[in-house]
Amino acid sequence: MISSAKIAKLANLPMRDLRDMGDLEGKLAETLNYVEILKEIKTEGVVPTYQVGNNENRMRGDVIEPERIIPTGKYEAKIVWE
Amino acid sequence: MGIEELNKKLNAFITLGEMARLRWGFGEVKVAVKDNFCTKGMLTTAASKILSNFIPPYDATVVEKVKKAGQIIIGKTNMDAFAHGSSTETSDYGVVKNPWDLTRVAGGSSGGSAAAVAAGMCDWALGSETAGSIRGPAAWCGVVGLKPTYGRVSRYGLIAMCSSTDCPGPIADSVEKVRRAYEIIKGVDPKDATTQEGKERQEGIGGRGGIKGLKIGLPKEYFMDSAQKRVNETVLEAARVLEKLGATLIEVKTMEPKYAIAVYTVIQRSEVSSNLARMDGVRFGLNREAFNEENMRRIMLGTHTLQSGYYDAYYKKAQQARTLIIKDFEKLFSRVDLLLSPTMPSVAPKIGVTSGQAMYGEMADVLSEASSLAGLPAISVPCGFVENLPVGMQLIGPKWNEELILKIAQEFEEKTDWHERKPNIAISG
Repeated sequence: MISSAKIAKLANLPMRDLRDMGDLEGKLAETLNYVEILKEIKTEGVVPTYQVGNNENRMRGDVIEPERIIPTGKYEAKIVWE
Repeated sequence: MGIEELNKKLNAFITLGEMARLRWGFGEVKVAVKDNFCTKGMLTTAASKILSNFIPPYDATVVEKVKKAGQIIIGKTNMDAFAHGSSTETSDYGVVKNPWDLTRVAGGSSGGSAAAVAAGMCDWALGSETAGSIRGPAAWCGVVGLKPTYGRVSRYGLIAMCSSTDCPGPIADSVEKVRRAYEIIKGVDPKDATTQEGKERQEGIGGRGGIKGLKIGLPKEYFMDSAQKRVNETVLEAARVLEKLGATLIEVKTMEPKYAIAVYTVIQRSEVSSNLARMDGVRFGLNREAFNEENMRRIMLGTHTLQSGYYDAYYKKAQQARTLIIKDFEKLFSRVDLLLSPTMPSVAPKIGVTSGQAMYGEMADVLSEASSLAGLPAISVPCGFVENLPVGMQLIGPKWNEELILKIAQEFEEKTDWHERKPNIAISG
């Protein structure tokens, strides 16, 4: 059984809000139960694929790109949605 | 009806810029952008309250490319919060209504983008897909959606959900418009190390450049018994259109899609927990209390599957199974040129029917997950109607073969008129 208090701490999520989430552990268990079918797949000796894209580092010059400097005060955050 | 009035009915946009109000000028192209792409100086929320105050200081690469092409960004479209869903019902800004039936969902997570296109609010829209988020809403809204090969389009400036499958792509009301948009956004980006110059397969299995002799595989498992029967039938009828044009239809066997659901769920939740760790209100946005329940559940599940002691059983196991999925596709593409199936196993459901189902999104996207995990390109095109609601057919191609699926989709479109049908609510061109 998954302990939501422990996971919440690891995930840096506020427990206060989690308490309002009703059957949180039940819903997490529902998902975990579904993914149990992974056990039916034979994966012994199979190399994992973590990334399907390019696996080479892309290098660039260690120079300042002026257009990527954030102008102070220009895009300060503001609440627009109430 | 004006665009703002229409948006009140559909809730397709979270932000509508000044430009949206202007009348279309000759040759102007208006583009709607999903709200998880950073737009310089324009609110970017990813449909989450946690970013309700985030105005990015820079443009995503794809947004920059759209602007450089001289096209106009009219606003930011609604979506599932952080793209966590397949119906936009997890949006913190309300659900997007389907332009064909306002009591139904538009699909997700790029629901706002697909609805905006279907309702004629823009010329095309930028969406993003992690597994079904472009194809799904395109199918349910009766428009065309292209999910390119992973690595074909830059993710720089796209708010990350599941980094190993996230992929930007265009949605429009015709294959030609999708192709033009794709030409603009694709390409290697020094700011995204996963982008690369992929090469199209030179020699087809069956066809030599055209549809004649092309071998199209119909995966038996993708016409599911649990799917809506008439959706399956509609897609089979559409396949016969391609057969009449000279293609050969071949029934093929794939890995059961139910395994892809499990593999995708674990990988996605794991990457979500890692990617959303940066949302802490320190550098931008509000603090973590502002996440909604779906976001918190996904973060928690991913944290669980990455924990020491569980990592091998979940995360590593899923990544090994992913290798098998990729091999399964490689085997299929040694026999056929492309795969054809329904995009979604049903038409758009009523708003609210999915609430409380922890696995709804993953179940809905069952026919997109395997190809997304393998990074393959796919397109969804309108291919008919069931109960007056649009049905989408998807064509999945081998890696880097966008040209092939675009060409075949276009041939299908030229022989049919499904894409020309518009919902009554739509703004006419």
